[in-house]
Amino acid sequence: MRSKIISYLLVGAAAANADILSSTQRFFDQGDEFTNYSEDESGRVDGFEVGEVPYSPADSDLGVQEVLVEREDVAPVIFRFSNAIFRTDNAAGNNFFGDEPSWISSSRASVTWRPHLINGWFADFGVAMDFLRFEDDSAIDYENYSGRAGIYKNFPDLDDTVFFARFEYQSLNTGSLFDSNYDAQRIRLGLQKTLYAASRQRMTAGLSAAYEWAANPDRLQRDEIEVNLTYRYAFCDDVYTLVTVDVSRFDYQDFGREDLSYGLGLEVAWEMTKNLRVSASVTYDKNDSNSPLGANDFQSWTGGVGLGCQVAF
Amino acid sequence: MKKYFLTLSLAATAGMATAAPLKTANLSTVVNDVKVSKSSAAAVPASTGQTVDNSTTVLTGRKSRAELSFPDQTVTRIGANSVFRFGKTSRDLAIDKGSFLLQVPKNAGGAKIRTATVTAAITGTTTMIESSPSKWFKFIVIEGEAKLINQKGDEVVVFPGEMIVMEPNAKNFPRKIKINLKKLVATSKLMDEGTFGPLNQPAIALINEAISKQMDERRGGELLPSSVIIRGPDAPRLNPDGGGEGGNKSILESITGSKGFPDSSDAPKT
Repeated sequence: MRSKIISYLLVGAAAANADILSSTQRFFDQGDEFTNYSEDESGRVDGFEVGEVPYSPADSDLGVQEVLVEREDVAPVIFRFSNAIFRTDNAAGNNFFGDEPSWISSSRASVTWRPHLINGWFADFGVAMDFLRFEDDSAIDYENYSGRAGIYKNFPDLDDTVFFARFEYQSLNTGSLFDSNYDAQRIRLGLQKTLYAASRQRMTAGLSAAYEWAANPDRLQRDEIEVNLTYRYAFCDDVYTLVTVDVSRFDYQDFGREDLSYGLGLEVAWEMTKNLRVSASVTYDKNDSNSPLGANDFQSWTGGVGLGCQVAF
Repeated sequence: MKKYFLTLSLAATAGMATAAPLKTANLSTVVNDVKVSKSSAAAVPASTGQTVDNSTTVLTGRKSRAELSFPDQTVTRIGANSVFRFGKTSRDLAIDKGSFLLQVPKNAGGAKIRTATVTAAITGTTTMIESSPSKWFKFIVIEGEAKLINQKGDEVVVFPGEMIVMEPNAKNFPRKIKINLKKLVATSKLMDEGTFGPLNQPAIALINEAISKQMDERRGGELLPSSVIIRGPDAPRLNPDGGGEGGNKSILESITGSKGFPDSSDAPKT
């Protein structure tokens, strides 16, 4: 009888293991750049790099001078690379019995291209690869591949609200480049808007909904509604801080599972040159799931420093 | 310091011979602390409806504004902390410092703006000018166009929605910057109908036309928002402003990220 109970407990615990998404998704955004459709991606003004602009008292009389840039004939292809070292109190893994702290080495490479299509509609292409390696032996090292192809348009008549629609593909591997542990295809529709902009401050809000029509394994197929808020404050021309708040509700198609995921991030970045950026960040992530035994609940603190570079062609 | 002070003169162009001289004006709006000084006499408070002539200097204090209406319907609106004088020739208007809106009707015979480093020819234009001694000079065209000429003879034409920001003693023109006209007009205190009343109808129509044209460019994706926005501490706003902006960099240094001013060798010339 005793051994039977122990067997049940072991089976129950095994069944309650966090799935691959819940184990890893809190690190998806580490080193990622905020996808901003609300302003020109290159941050240029007539070919020059854009800094923050101090006001003069007379600007109150003249009015708000929002600088516009002319669209380039050929949209640049932007390559970004970053490496970061993080420390987390809850490494990626399916350890049901407790959180394991760990150091993380994160490498990310991405490419984006946003050519103009017609009448203010732009295409949005991007691929990214993340490689995460954990110092803790029980943690799961993984690679996250993602790609997107979509369109977006800024509507000046709607106070510069941006609409976007894109196809997204994501694949997670745990150690092998070719054996996917998870992959999904989804369509995401969203709105983005700069709520407030001043010389040194900018607040942007976003709302999106994603419909996933295929996922492997099937039980991880899920739809998402997401809201996010990003606040940027520039201390000087080269140093700024970014505060991000992100809330997502995931509706899984199996077993009536629903997750509510929260993310809070604080980053301080120094743009050393036009192409080089050093950052320090701390993020808090929490996931509340109605999975049995709280198998997919988690919370984690992650902080670290990173070095990134950007090249546009 | 004095060498940095900008003096703007408005003088008639080709059609000037037949244009009415800008020798007198009516102080059609006076808000808060506005004073006038005749010749070298001490400044005295101004009053609405007062007529000023070419021996008069108009000074505005903090949070103060004034409007001068000329017989040919040319309008000069003067922002806070500004000093305005008449120039030496028949249609000269001189600006020592501050912010100004100039609206010269199309049929008024044109005008010419002169500064220590720049001369601007205007043929019926609504412009805004800011002169900050020793800091920068800002020139915005809302409707119409203006041709700026520097001491080297380089020329650049400024069209609606374009802005030139430069150091007062700059040798070269910087690149022109495009700005959001609709937002500028909606938030400008010099365009505030509650304070000054409306500009004349033809000017309003031309301004709306310029805004409409720029909106078409924005809708078509030819003009895109950037991360740069310049607003004053008291600018009307839709949201609360944390303020705190400042810094010692010149405005263009901040925009360009460059210590020096961009060479205008590729600036449009006419």
